[in-house]
Amino acid sequence: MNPTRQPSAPAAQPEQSPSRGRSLWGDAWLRIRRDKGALVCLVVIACYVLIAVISPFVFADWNTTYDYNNRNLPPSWAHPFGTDALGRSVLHKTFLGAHVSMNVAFMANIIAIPLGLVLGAVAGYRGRRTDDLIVWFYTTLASIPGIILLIAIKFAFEGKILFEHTWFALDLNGMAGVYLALGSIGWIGTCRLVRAEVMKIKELDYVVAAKACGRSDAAVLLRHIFPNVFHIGIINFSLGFVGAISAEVILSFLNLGVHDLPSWGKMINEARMDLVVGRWWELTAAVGATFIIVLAWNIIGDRLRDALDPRLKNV
Amino acid sequence: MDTLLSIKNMKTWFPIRTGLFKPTRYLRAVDGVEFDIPKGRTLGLVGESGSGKTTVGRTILRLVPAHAGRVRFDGTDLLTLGDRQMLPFRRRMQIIFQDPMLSLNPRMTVASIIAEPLLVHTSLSRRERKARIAELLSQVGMQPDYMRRYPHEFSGGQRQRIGIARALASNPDFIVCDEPVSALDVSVQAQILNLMNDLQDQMGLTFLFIAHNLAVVEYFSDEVAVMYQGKILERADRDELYANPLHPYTQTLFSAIPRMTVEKRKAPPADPGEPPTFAARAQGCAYHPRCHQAQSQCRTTPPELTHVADNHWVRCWK
Amino acid sequence: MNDNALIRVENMKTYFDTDEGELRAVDGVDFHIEPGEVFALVGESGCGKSVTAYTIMKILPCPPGRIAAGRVLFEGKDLLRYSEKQMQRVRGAQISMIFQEPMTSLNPVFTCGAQISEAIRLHRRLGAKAAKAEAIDMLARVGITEPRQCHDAYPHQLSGGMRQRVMIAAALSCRPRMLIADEPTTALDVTTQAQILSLIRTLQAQQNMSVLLITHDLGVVAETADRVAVMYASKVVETAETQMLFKAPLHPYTQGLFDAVPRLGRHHERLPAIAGTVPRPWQFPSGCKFHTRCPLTREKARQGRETQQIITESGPTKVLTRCASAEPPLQRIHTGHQCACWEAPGYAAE
Repeated sequence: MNPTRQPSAPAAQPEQSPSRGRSLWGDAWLRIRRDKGALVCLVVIACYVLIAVISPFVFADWNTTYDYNNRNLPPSWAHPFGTDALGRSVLHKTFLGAHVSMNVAFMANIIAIPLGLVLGAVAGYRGRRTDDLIVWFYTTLASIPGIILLIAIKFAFEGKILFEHTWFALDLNGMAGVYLALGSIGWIGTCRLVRAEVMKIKELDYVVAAKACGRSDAAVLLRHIFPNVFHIGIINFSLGFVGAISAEVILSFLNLGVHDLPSWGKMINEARMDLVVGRWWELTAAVGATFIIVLAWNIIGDRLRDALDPRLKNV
Repeated sequence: MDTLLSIKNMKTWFPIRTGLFKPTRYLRAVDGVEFDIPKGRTLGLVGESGSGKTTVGRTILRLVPAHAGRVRFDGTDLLTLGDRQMLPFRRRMQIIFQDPMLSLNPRMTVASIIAEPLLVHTSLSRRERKARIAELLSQVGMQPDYMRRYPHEFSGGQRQRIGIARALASNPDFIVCDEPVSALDVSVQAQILNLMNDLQDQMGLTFLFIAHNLAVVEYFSDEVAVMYQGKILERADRDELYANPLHPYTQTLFSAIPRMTVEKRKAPPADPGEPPTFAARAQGCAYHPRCHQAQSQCRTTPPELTHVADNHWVRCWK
Repeated sequence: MNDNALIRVENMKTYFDTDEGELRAVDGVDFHIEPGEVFALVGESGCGKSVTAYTIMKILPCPPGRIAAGRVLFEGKDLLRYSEKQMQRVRGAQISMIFQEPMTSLNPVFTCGAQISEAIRLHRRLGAKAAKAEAIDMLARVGITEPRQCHDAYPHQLSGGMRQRVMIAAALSCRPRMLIADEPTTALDVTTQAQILSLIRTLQAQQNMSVLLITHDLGVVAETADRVAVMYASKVVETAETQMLFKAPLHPYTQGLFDAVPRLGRHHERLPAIAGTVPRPWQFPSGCKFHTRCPLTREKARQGRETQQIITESGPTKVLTRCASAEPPLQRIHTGHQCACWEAPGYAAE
C-alpha cells in the first residue's frame, strides 16, 4: 500500500463526513464492478440475452426456409458454422437455440426462486407443523431422481394446454411445458438454504428487538428476515440458470423438449449421427454455445456468492 | 415507592421435542422466580451462563411464553393479555442486547432501525419521525447525520448506542438490559454505563440489568438477585449483598472475581467442580453438587427463599 | 540486552491487504519472554494482540495477511525464516496455543482422547497404547476427575470449562517450552475462569514453561502474569512488571483503562471513561495514536505550550503539537518499565 492512505494530522475521523452510508448491497455491487472476470461474464450473458431476444424476429421464417443445394456444408465465409441437413445456417440455428435456452432457463428460475424463497422463509420462520409439512414435501420430491421426475412431468403435460382460448394460454407441449416442469422441481435447493438461514436469523437479536416493539410476524418476515436471505435467491438464480440450461438440453436430446423451434439439445441429438460421417460443426456449435453460457453463469454465481454472502465478509 | 414490575412464581419451561408418542419433557430454564422492581430503580440479575437470566428478561417481555406465574406491570398481569392488548405495553417495555453485532439489522440504515418502534407505536409524520430520530441520536451521544449510514460502518460502542436509541424511541418506562456491556471494550464499557446511568436519571427509567460481572452489577444496581439454574438463590439490596453475602454460591462468585490488585490473595478460590448440565439436575438444592457446605438435608429437599434480614432473601438451609 | 530470553520479538510488522487498503494490524512490536515467565499482552479488540500471537505461530491466513518485517527469535533462531515444514515441528511440540472458544477449536467428530493422542504420536513418536496412557495422564493433570471417561467423550458432551481443560491438556501434552493462550477464559463463567487461570499457573510452574497470555481483562492479568505489555493501535505503549504497572501505570491509556473498569466497592463515583472510540486500523491518527483520546495531552495543552487544534468525535480540542505530529518510541523509564508517551514522567525526549 502507499503510505498516503494514513490520514495526516490532525486526525479527523473519516466517519464524520456527513455522507450517505454504503449498504451491503452497494458494497456487493462495488465488488462485482471491481472484478474483471465477473464483468467479462456479465458481458457474455448480456450478448446471449440480446441474441435470444432478437433472433426469433430475425429468423421468423426459420421453419419454412430450406436450401437443398447447400446441405451439410462445412464452415465457410458464407456459413461460419456450416449448414445442416436441410441446408440452413448452423449459426442461425445456434442463435435460435439461445432463444429457447435462455427463455426456458429464465422462466424456470422465475418460478423456482420465488417459490423457494417463500416456502423456505415460511418453513424456517413458522417452524413446527408448517416446517414439517414443507420439509416432507421437498424431501419427497428430492428423493426422486431429478431427470426421471422431469420426464414424468413432461409426459403428464403431453397434449395439454392451460387456460386455453385466453390470451395467456400455455401450451404445455412447447416451451411452457419445459420451464414449468423445471420450475416445479428447481426450488428445492433454494428452499433448503433459505429455511436453514431463516432458522438462524429468527433467533438473532434484531428480530427479537422487532418483536419486542410489537412488530407483527408479517412485518418481521418482510423487513427483517427477507432482506437478509434475498441474496441466496440471487445467487441461486444465477446458478439455477446452469441447471436449467443443461436440463433443457437433456430434455430436448430425449425428444421431450421444445418441438417447433431449434434448441441446442435438439441440435446435439440430430448431429450425433453426423459425427460418424465427419460432420462435426453442428455438434460443436451447440456444445460450444452451451459450454460458454454455462461457464459464464457458473463464474457469475460464484462471484455473486463471494460479493453477497455476509459470512464471507470481514475475514 | 411504587412497584412498577412485580413477578411471582414465574416459570418458563421449554418443551423438548422427543417424538410423537413420548411424553413431553421440559427444560426448566426459569423455575419459580419472583422479585419486584420499584419505579426508577434497577434490579441486577447475576448468574453464570445457563442460569436462565436471559430467559427471565425475555419472559417478562413475552418474547418467550411463560409456563406459569404472574408478571404484573404497573398493575396489569401481562401473561393474561392477548397479543393486541399487549401492544400498548410493548411501547412501555424495551430491551437492549449484549452483542451489538447481532442486534442491528445489517440491511437497514440507522434511521430505519430506530424508526421501528416509532412506526408501530406513534403516528408521526415522516418529517417528525426524522426529527425524533435525530433527537434520539444526540441523546445517546451520536451525531444526527449518522442516520443514513449502515450498522457495519460503526464500532461496537457506537452500535450499542444505536441499540439504546432504538430502545428509547418509544419512550419506555422499563428496559431489560441483557448484558449490555459485556461484549464491549473496557474503555467503551464505561461510556455506555455512564450513558445508561444518565438516561435513567433524566427519564426515570426502570432497569432489569442482566449481567455476569459482579463489579458491573454493583456499579449499576440498587438491588441484586443471584440466579442459579432457573432459581433465585439470594436477593438483597446492593450494599447488603456485597457486604454480607450469605449463600455459598454468592460467596464463591465473589471469591472468583479477579482482583485488580497484585497483592496476593489469602485463599485461592474454592470451587470443586463444573456446573452440571440441565439433564443431570440434582434432587434437593440445585447447588448442592458444587456446594462445599452441603449437608444431607440439601441433597433431599430443596430449600425455599427465606427472609433473613431487612429485604435480604436466601435460598439455603443454613 | 540479556539474552537468556526464550523468545524475543523484534520490530514485528504484520499487515493485511484489504479492500480498504493496507491494514497495519501489528506495526513494530518488540518484547521478550524469559523462560518460566507469564507474559501478558493486554489490549482492546483490534489492537493487534491476537495477530501478534498468530504471527509468532505463523498461522496467519496469507494472503490477505503478510509479515512485512521483524524477527521472532525463539531460543535464538528466527521463526519467521523457518519453512512451513520446520514450523510444523515447532508448533505443538515447542510452542503450543490454546484459543478462546474451545468448542470451535476442538474437532467435534473425534473424541477428546484422540485429539490429545494425535499430538503426542506426531511429536513424540509414541505407539497408540503409550499415547493413550499419556493422554489419560494428561487429562488427570489438568484436573479432570474422570480422565478415562473424558478420554472417550466427544467435545460436545463436555461443559465449557471441561473443554478448555481438554484444550490445555492437548496443548501441553508434548511439554512445550512455551504456551500461547489467546483469551483462554473470555468465553467462560467467572468461577470456571478462576479455576482455569490457576490451572495454567500451576502447570506453568510445574513444567517451567513460558506463557504468552493474551487478554483484554486487567483482572486476569493481575491474577496470572509476571510481566505485562499494553497494546494500543497496533503498538506496545507500555510494558512493565505486573506489580509496577498496577501500582504506577505511566501511559495515559493504561491509566484510563484502570480507571474505566468498575471495581467492587467503588460504585459511588461516576466511571471515568476514556473519550472516543478505538480508531480503526486504516484510520489511525498521525503522531501518537492515542492523542485523539488522551486526557493528558489536553491537560498539558491548557498550560500554554505549543498546541494545535484537532477534531474529535466530541468536537474540536487542543492538544500538544508534538503529540499530534510525532510518534513517541517505546523507551525505558526505569528498570523493567518502558513507556511510549512524550509526556510520561521520566520520559527522555531526544
